[in-house]
Amino acid sequence: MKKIGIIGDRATVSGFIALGYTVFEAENTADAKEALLRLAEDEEYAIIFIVDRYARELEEEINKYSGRKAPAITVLPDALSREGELSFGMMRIKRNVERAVGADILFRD
Amino acid sequence: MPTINVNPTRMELKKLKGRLTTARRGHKLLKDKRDELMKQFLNIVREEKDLRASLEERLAKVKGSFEVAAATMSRRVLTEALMLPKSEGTLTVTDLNAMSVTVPRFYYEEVPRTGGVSYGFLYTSGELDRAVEELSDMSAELVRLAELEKTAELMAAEIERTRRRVNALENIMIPGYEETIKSISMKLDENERGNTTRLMKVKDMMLEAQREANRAREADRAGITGASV
Repeated sequence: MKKIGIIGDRATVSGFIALGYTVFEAENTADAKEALLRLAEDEEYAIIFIVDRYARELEEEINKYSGRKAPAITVLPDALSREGELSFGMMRIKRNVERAVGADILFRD
Repeated sequence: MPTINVNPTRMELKKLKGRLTTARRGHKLLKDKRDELMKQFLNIVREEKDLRASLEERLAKVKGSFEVAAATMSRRVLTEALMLPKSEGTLTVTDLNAMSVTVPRFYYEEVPRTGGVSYGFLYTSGELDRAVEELSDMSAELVRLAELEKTAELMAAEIERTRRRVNALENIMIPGYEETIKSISMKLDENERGNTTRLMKVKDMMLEAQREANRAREADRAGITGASV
């Protein structure tokens, strides 16, 4: 049995305790980075969610694990994508499509 | 297109022809693999996008509810209320092989603890109940999102790799082989023609020599008969 970790500011992530997630409260990017690296190296955690705000800043660290099978580091969908401005999670989907297809065919409308 | 540097011999030609067939077959297989990967990838990415969009909206609502709850309750009570998990989900991970890409598959099973929220209703606000309820409804979908995202990432990397291989075969290896095979067979043909002309020339020379010898013999015989007369 594997665990699910979640990293983010208190207001966003505290509710996830009720779901049985392992919650790491981080008040700044440095804390979030430390928690992320620790969780990513811990094989107990299969899924790590990270809030949009910190994921933006820790893109490099997240990308280091994107080629690996585990863990799955996913940007928590806690920011809204609006017209013309995508949330970071959506941006990552877009970039992934560009990488595979060579052009963005999902968001072009 | 630069040719491969090999000796223009029949052996090399045969070897190269074999390699060209293999390269062509590999190219076709890889192309098919790329197309199929792309098809699956696009399906996954579309689902991922829609799921993320819907989760974004739902989570925003939950966040709103939490904020209201936090405003009407003291921080201590809120922390206390959330301390015990409402449900304990079990997550098991298995590997799935999708077009030679190993992707994780998450199975999330929710095991409700007490059949409801794990705090008393007395000191907490109704907004909190709603928020926790909504969050726990989203749980399975969040896990699905993580699975889709990882799958898409791994597939994108594989597509990129496969595409590069297809391009290398199509634009460099196969034309290189073709060019080399052409140049070797041209050289061999040229040698063949050279040989033929040489043989013809030698034959001419031999015939000439024979004719010369015949003429000399005739002359000799004429001389002998002339002398005897």
